[in-house]
Amino acid sequence: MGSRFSWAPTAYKMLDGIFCIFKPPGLPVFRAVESIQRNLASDLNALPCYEYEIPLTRSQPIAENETETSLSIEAEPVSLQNWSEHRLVLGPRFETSDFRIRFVDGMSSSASGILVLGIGRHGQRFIDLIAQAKYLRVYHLKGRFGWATDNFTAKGRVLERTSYKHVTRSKLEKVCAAVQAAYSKQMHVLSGVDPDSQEAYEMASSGIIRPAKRHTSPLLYGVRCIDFQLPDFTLEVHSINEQGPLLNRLIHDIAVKLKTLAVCSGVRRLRYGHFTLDRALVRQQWHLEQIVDNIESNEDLLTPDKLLVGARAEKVKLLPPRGKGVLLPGPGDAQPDSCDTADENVSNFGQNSDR
Amino acid sequence: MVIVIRNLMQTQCCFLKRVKLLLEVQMMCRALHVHRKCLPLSGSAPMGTSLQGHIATKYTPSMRLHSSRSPDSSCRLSFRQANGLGHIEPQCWRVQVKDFSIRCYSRGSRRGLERKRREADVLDVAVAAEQVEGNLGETEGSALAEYADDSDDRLSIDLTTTSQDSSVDLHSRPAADLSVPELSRRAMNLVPFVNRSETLQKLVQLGVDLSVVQQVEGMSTLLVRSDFERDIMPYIRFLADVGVPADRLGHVLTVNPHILTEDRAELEQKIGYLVHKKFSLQEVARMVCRAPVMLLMSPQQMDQKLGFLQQTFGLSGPEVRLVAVKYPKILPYKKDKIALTRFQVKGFLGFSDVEMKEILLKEPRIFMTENRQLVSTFDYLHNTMLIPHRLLLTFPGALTHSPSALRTRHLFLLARHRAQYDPCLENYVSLKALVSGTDDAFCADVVKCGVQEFYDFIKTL
Repeated sequence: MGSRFSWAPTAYKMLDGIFCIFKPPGLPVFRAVESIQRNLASDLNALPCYEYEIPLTRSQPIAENETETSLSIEAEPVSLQNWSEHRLVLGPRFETSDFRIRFVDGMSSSASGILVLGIGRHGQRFIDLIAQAKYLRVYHLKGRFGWATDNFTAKGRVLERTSYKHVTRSKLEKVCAAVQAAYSKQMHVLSGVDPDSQEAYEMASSGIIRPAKRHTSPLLYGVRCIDFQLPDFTLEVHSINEQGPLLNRLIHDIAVKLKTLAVCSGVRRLRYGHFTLDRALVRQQWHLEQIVDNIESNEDLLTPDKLLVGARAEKVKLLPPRGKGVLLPGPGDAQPDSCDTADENVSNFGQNSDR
Repeated sequence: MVIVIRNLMQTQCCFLKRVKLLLEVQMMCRALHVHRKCLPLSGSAPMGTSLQGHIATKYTPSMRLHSSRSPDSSCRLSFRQANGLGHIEPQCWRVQVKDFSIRCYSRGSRRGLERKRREADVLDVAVAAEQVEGNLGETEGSALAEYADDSDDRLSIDLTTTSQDSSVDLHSRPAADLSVPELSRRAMNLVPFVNRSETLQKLVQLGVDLSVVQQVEGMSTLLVRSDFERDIMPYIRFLADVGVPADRLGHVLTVNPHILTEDRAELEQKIGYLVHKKFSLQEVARMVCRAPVMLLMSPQQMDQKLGFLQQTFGLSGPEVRLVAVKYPKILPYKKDKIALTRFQVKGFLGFSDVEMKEILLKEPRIFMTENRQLVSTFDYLHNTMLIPHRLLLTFPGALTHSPSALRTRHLFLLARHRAQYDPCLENYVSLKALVSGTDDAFCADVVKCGVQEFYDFIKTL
């Protein structure tokens, strides 16, 4: 047994907090949660769950049964006193329903990217706090010029085809800047402060201007073209309170402004607030030990200064500047996957003035 | 263990008080670590149930409260002691039960115990713990006697409806005096009987998973009533004669407990049929171990199924035996489904009859996989990865893998310029190396990189 745990209930208690996964494309979020629950149940059931299963060589007594004094190391495994407490009688101790998992800001099944999940009592609480914090999310949208479909994705029913030879990178960037500028007024409206006030100035200088409420209409903080190889292009979008269909539609709208058509061929979430891709667990890692490690490593993100950014009164600096160390060179991605900090993001707003 | 909560107050037991009482019981259950398998035996209260117990999970037992305005309310919560109560020894939980009763009283003592007694405005909580094995501890009785007015009243169980006579019987007598069939009227699983029944203990020693077996209808009654030497031993001897190794007996009986209801002579006939069809005894034993359900098929059914396989796929005698031994689960599998999958493999995937026969001999499981997954996996292998049919025949097991797992590995190989599936060229990656093995082995042997690079790549998809 290679596990570092020797007693399943202790390990179960450690499953209490926030962890983040990389949801692969094509897998619905609820299926991912089910898969995690199944993995956890089977991993825990593989550990000693009942007292007679505890290896006799264990060094320290079990922490949670202080009252148990008769259990000695010399106890014979054969002389089982209580037959009713046996794995073959009671069955596996952990079932999938024992793991309450909630997620915040899910995504459509075709999208991929980072997903923040909470497990256990603390996890449920922190998930609410994270949701209220209204973190900025960073997406990479892959688009392809040439046709339009009924649901704006590449897999939908084709409605129309056009040519796209006239599109250049500079034209695309202009339209992106226009889209971004269109949202800057919305930003002030949803934040609930007067754009000419001192408060608005301080808010803008300390970070991004977040909406006041959790559920508002979508806000795009930055739209940039980071890759352009006709007919394919990739946009990096910073947003709050967006939804999957909106991102697909964004590609379509941008293309219409360019007098052509396009579909969204991929949505990937790179960052969810402080949760970056390097913290995320890929599907092969959705197991007990990795999840426990991930919960521990994510505890530094659950501090008040990071969780309370959504409150308007907070003047904390949003995201500490961090090095661009997270480079994941992909097969087709010639560009680095940049995870911009919010400060850089804000600096993009300077481009809006020309439109 | 039975918890009896009696409300002497008659009319003045308001809803709020019941809720408080409920919370107390919840806390106690949490303190006791009541396991989820500790099922509620009954929440029986006469004439307008006031409080019904229902334990949902093992750490946070939740109770359902049924409120009724009926003046009579002798609430009663009773739980079957299902598993020796979690991880606490009987001595320990007796103390806990005592604590509980004290707590219930001390809550009222803010107003003064004397006043409570005078007005009879008391929630008299009497906790009577009956273990199936032991009796009530002396310490608990004395602890309760300090607080309760009438000890007889406390320990007696008050049920006024006549329809529940049986439960009165059960609870007014110590559980140790009850016979097993009497107890079986009330139990919801086999757990309470294991400590009393030698048969069940021996089955557990054999490795039979009672938690699975009890889900089979009628099986738990059969096991509780049967005597190990008389009723079960002949079947174990039979399985041992067939050649099932001792450590697999439990598995066979867990998967197919219906063996115990079969006639011994008929079972021997079935084995005799297989031996007659030139299966060796080792092969028969292996088949029984891997597909115990097979023993429920009559010789005629077995003959039909073997004949069906032989005719549909054009197999010779030894080939039929090879398939049956290699994957015996195909014997109880439905003929229609096999035929349907065969039709799909032929019509949609484009394998010829000879190729299908080869697939069946190499990987019979393909004809039992779900059709949709089979088609999508083939689609990815053949149309995206451009692997021809003859190459798929070298390792048909690849068809049983999920398309998503295939996709990540194939895209990673593509990114590394190693996606080369033609055996005639250099840097050939075989299908077997592609789909099988852990990620560590795949990265180290095939891609020649660290597994972390693979995981980082997945995050870019």
